[in-house]
Amino acid sequence: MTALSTTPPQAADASRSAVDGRRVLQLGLAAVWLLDGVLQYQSWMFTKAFGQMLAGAATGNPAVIAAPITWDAHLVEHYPVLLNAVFATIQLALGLGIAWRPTVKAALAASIAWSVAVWWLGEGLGGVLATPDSAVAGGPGAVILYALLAVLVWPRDCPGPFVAARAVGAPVARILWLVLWGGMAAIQLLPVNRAPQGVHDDITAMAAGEPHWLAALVNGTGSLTAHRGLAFSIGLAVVFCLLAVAVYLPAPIVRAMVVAAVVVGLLIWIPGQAFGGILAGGMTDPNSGPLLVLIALAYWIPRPAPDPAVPPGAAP
Amino acid sequence: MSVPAGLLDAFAGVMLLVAAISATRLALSWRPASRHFGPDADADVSHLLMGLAMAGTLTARLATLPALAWDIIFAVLTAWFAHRVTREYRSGRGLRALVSEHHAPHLLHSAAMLYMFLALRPAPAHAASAMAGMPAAGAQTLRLPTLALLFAFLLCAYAVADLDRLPAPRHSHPAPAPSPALALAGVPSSAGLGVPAPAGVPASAAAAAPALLGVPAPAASGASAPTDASTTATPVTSRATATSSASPAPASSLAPGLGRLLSPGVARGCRIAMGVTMAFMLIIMI
Repeated sequence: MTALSTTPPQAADASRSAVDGRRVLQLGLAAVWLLDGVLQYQSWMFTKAFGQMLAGAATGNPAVIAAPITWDAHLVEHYPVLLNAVFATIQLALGLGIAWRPTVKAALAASIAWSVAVWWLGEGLGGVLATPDSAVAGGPGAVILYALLAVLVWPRDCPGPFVAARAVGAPVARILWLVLWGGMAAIQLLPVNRAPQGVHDDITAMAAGEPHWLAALVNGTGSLTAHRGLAFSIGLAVVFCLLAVAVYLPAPIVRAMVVAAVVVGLLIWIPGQAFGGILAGGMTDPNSGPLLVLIALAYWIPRPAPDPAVPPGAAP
Repeated sequence: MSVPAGLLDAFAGVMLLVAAISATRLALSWRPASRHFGPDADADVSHLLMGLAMAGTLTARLATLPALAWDIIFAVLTAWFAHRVTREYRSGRGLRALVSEHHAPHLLHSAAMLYMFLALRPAPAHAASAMAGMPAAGAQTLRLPTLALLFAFLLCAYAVADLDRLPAPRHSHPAPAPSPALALAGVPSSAGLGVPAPAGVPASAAAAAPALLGVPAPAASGASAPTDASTTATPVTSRATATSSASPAPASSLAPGLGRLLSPGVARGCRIAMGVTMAFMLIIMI
């Protein structure tokens, strides 16, 4: 955690040995895009079934949202090999572009545009206007988190105590955090997600096709929530709300909030999402868990460096 | 349906290109006087072998050796690079040895290849068979898929870290010809070329020369200490010092195109292509 400094780029250029927290997060986003690109090359994606899966995202959405989804899905069904190869290559290029310093801005901008397009045409806006997935299942849509992270690590230098604040200013960064976690709390409390078996079904659905140890972990977690959907949803919503408002509190609490958000992200990702179902095959991304972790780290406030003039242990 | 053959062929083509570049780098680093290869020969050998092995796994007709032979080869390479990383760790680098670009990525690549060949499941009967008895990658699956995912994550992480170290193009264009003094010191005519110095040139001379070019000088102990991951945006310096004590043919004796092949940027490019291809293979075989 201490590696996440807020060194301005000029200083970083002068001394590359100082680790720049923003660059680390950019590289994290690049690695996730690279993994996405590789996942998109899986054999299943080159079949008509991929187009049919995309068409499912239109269900329940208003016509103005659903029509482009249906059009895109039909196109993919007709040209699955060509279009999937293009999609995969774009995602690979986004990862490589963010990782290479001269192209970082262009790649981040393209990453935002691509994420929004996929969120709409591939995920039906995460079902926000229809039936949103619970936060455990990746709601409000993993890919929109890519866009959010790209905004938060944009190479700009507003004054601010954490990486995200440097990109968009502290007030906007805090509002984005509030909207993210507050929105996840609201989604979790929707009737479909707080149903007695809602959380249980979201979790156990991820166990199919997983290696034995992971399936056991996921099923075990799911069994804890069986018939307790309401209680778990309220509990999760409370945790999300606490995380949402903690960003306005003093630095030590914000640090605790970041640690808690990282833990929540990992819990959602591993026992909740089974690493996004990658090991079962047929998944296009690692789901929302790793993105939640990276976004949380963008809010880490580094501890002030000790004053070298004051000897250790001396009274201030 | 499996992954389209054209896609597998394209990745195999990239791997053959990496193998060819690595073979050329190896040949150029040969020092007839001391009858030794350059200091990066182990990395070039591993790239050459991995390129051939992956091309053969991706496209059946490019298969060269049986799987058992590759098992042995990659076990030896993994042991060798584990030894190099351990030495780097003990030389005072500590855990930074695991994130430096010197030996850790090669250890990861070798281990991933060893795992890939050991974990290959027998292909279904209908899958196309290869010259060496292996089907093309799109038709194979791996045992212990969790390990495959872990390797894929790490390969992606190392690939982006390598890309982060690649200099901008303006830093990597070699000038028409190096000045005699700089060429003698093993310093390229522009940052990024990174042609090593000839034998016998003191490390201090090679270390001082970059200052003439307006690029940061390396650490004083750079002759033995590996370059830190975050300090290699100007690769000329580290390369010049790291190889100054024993080096191949003088830069001036190489054609500009060939000399450029010896640059750290080319080695990184090969490593990035290899890491991405390896992650691709692991994922499609999960």
